[in-house]
Amino acid sequence: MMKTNSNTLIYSVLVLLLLLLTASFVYEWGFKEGVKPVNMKPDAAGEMVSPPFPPSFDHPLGTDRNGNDLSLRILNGAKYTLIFVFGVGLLRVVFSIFFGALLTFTWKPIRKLIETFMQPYINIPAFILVYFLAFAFLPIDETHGMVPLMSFQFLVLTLVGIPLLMMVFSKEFGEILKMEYIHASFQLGASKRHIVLKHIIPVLRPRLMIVLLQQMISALILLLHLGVFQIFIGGELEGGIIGADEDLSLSKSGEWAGMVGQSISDLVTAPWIVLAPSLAFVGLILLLNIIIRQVDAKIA
Amino acid sequence: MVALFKAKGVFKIEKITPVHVLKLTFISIVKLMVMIISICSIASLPYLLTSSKMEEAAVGFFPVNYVQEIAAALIGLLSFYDREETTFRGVHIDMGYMLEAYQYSMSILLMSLGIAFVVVLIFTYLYHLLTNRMKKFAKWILVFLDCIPDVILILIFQLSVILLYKETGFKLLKLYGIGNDVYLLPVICLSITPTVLLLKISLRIHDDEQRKEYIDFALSKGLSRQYVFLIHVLRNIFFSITNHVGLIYWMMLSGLIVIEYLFVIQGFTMILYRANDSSILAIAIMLFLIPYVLLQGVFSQINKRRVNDEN
Repeated sequence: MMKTNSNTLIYSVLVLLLLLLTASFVYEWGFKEGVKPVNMKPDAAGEMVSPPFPPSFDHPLGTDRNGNDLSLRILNGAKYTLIFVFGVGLLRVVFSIFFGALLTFTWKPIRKLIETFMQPYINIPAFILVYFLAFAFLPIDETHGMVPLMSFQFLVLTLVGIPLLMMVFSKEFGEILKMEYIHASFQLGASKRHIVLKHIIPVLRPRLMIVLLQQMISALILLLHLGVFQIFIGGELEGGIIGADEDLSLSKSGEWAGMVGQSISDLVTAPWIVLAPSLAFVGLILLLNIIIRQVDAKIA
Repeated sequence: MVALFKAKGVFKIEKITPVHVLKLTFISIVKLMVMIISICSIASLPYLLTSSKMEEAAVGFFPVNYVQEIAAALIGLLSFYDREETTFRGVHIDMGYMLEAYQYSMSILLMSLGIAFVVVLIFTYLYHLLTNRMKKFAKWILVFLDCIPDVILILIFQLSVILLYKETGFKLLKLYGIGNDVYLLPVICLSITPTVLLLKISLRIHDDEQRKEYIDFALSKGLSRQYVFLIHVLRNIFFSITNHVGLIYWMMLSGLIVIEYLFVIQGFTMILYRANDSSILAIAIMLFLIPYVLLQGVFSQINKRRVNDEN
């Protein structure tokens, strides 16, 4: 009873995320052209006011400074956020398993040296590592455009997460290698590749799902930190806000972290511009955490 | 009992020979060297992608340049004290400035860590007093709080302070760090995330601990529930959560960077994202890792002395 119950919850969350993704694509290809920003609108007293409009019946989450509906912008950004984060998490896990396995089978003194070398990389916040490479984002954007930039950012965000995860996996592998059935398998002439693929990964498989989801959450939080520092996925647009005093940079792709980061200066004057994408963020992390809890309960 | 100590490696029975000592020192020196090289390689990361220190340098992939820069950073470390001062983006950086900023940032960080620990212990005590249904409810609140990233928490906090000021004219806290140092608000903001995380861990340990036999034993001896909790359980919880101090420090460090940026504090983390000299960066990274190593060392020593049945 308990088991089916947790499964339905997991699947319903996954279906929800997929629906969000589909809706995002449908909006991009179907309706986006038809939706025009609201420039002026009468308020309660009958006077014309300009955006940003606070949350109302027409705009459940309010509008931004250009009069665009925030809930539609969040819907539009959902696909970038979800796909990017999922890709980063997946690649991190795959590469970490590969390098972790390599590390486990390295000669012990060399392994210790590599582990010592990795230590600072693990203990410095990943944000710093990305920030050190982030100055290259702007020139890439100027010379090559948005898609190469996004791939490069994707690569950087993936690489940054690997050292920690690789060490975790290597430790786990080391523990599993001590098992007797592994010794037996070695005695029977199994190769290291066979051991990893047939004996270690199946043991870890139920936990891999959790690790993947945790990596997605950590990538989301990293994106948010980068957004605060005005580093956006897909580069930035200069001066996209009507009536803004200074030319603020806007996130080009419109993913959620960029939406939070670009509007931090609006926090006091129009808090909903910041809070709406934040709400989407919290919701996404909450959904991912629900899956983690359910999978965790199933394993235990 | 002695066997347990032996197994834990508390008593070193084997004789320590000079060769052994030499070997150990050699290993630790090699480890230290590798660490320093690694830190320099982090600090030189920007030069992996750019050809020179000029403003309009080409962007590409420059591994040779990168290795050269690591070597330069290492040499720069050796002669760091000879350097008079460096200027970047209008801020003078010398040893005095760095130490002052470091002291400020670290005191914020350590104060928040201390507050987080105290608050967690108090909340665990309150949780202990709750009924079972309330306990479940408290856990769900915690699950939800855990989903809110630190940046969003900080923003909400900032917003509510400003709104409070706007509504009532009551200036609760000084918001921005221009001029003299502000402590209260950054410390509160920084301590929220570790508190939530630690509380989650601590409540789990609390529930596990309740099922253990020593509780039943102590209760059957006639000790009161409060006494058993305050003297035995809380102490065990405290030592168990200190195991996670590494993770907490890591999280707080990234939180600190965001907080110093959002509150416009001229703190130490600013060096990390503003400096372009790799030996300064290397020093900054090292200074950041030192408290971590110390905390880790202290707590692992404390935990070593305890005899427990965990792990």
